Amino acid sequence: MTLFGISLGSMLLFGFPFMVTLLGSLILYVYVYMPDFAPKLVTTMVQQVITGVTPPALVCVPMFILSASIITGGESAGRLIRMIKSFVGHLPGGLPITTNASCTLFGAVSGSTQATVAAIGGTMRPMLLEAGYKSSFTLGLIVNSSDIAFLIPPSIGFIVYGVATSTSIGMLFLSGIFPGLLILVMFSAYCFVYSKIKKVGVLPKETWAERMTAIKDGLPVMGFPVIIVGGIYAGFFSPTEAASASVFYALFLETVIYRSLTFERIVDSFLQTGVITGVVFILVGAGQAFSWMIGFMQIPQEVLPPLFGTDPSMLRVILIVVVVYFVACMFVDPIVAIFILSPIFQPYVVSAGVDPILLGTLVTLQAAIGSATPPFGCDIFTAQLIFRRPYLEVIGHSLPFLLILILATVILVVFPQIALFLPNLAMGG
Amino acid sequence: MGEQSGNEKKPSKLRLFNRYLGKVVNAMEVSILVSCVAALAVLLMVNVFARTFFQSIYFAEEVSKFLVMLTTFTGVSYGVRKARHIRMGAFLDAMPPKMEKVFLIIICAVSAVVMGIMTWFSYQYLLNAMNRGHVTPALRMPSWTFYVIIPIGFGLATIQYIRTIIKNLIEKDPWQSPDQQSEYEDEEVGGVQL
Repeated sequence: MTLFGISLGSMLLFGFPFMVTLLGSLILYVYVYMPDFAPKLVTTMVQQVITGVTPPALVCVPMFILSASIITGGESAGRLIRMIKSFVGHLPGGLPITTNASCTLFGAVSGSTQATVAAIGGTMRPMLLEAGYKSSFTLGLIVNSSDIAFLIPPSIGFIVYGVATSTSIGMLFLSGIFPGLLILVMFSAYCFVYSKIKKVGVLPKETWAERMTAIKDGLPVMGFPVIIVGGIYAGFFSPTEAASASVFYALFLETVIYRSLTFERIVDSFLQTGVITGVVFILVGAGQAFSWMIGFMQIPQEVLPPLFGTDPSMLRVILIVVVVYFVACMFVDPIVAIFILSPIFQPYVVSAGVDPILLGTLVTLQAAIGSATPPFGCDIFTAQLIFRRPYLEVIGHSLPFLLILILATVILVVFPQIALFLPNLAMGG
Repeated sequence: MGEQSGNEKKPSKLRLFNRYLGKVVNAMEVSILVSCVAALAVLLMVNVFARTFFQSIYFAEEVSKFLVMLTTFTGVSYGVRKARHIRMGAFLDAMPPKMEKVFLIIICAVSAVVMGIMTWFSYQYLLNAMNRGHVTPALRMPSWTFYVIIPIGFGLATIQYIRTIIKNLIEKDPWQSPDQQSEYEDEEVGGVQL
């Protein structure tokens, strides 16, 4: 147990790939403590890796990655930004609000924060800097607004949570929309006040003729939320079908309507999708092996009872789960955290009567917040990678956003209906 | 793992071997990744149409499972080669280059061992599946065909980690992977840059 923890912690901190950290710690553990059974257990690990990567529900992940990848290579993100900017650009904080809103809408195409940081941040950051915003503010803004994309369907977080806990992925998708919009409103209010106090200049108001052109250019991008949210809400599409429909629409949009993609670009987006799929899925597989093994080693039974106490109340379960996810996602990739932790908490969650869909929303929100939080949130490193700015500059302005996100979590715990009324409506109708 | 021991005396041969292996593997991996993702996309899109107008393709789920596995395990080794695997690199990036190099060699050695063990046991798993002779429910294919890629993927990942060690031994700067010096480098599309 101690050796296991030490190997896990040190491999994590010294920058071993997560897949090696997970699989290597398990292999070390079985060979040191159970040498007789080791070959059998490692074979079981292989089997668990296979089980982890093959649930039918996970097939939608590469498809959502693919449509986001096609869109990122094309013009959609730029057109989306132009459309929103033409309406809010003249307000105080117009450009940061444009960033927030673009991330939210782009979230309806992409399932991960990383893709959103790249697509929206790459375009918005030069504009924000030119308008006179401080560099660390722009980075904090971009990293944290991309969190909203993690709540707006499609979201890889929801898909993985749904697979790990056998919760309906379609319903989880619907539950993320209003919390995402809530955070959008709160962030925008903050940006409005911040820009007013700092007296950052505003853009000239655009005429209605300009706005109409911008709408005409950008409106086709809104087809994605219609296909994904509308299709799932109406019960017409399963998540996998919605994913393949969005790939179809992305190809149609970028090749036929915008004519922005060359054949090489398309092949490259296939390749990038393949790589991201491999890198993400092996983590899911390793996570499955890991969670099976710690179940086998009975670690949850040792660690959890003192944490939860006997017969915990609903609020206590929610608080513990939320805090654990938040802390875990500061250190490891959210996909790994969700996949390993969810099955462990599941019995307590069920016995305390917590709504699994509400918890899924909270968990995904925490995963998004944690991965944008210093010291080790993985979105920070993504931003470092994309914008090539030093670490301290990236995290310099994350505190206000972090506080807003924590406030949003509290609001969500107090008023769970924000997340739940849309899924309830869909199930009722 | 025995391949590199014979060549260690002559670094130029070692370098040639490294380069040749890199090119062959790159061409294979890129074509598998691209065609699998494309095939998966086409299959799922066609299936939506088929379901709407006729009926679902009966083998769609099985083939998509096969394609996902092929993509995943090919991506594992491609990810090693391009330094794309997700990790927490904060401390490693902050180290002075010499120390980073030492750590990279340790990391790659441990990773190569772990991947090597996974290769061996997934090969055993494959042999086991061949002996049982189960067939898949829809296409009546032998189910071991699904697992062939696993030892190959892990095995290639092992080789890539060994290549990274070689790269770090023969070059002055620390290298994250045999093809990429650091994650911060722009990735060349599909090409080998050695």
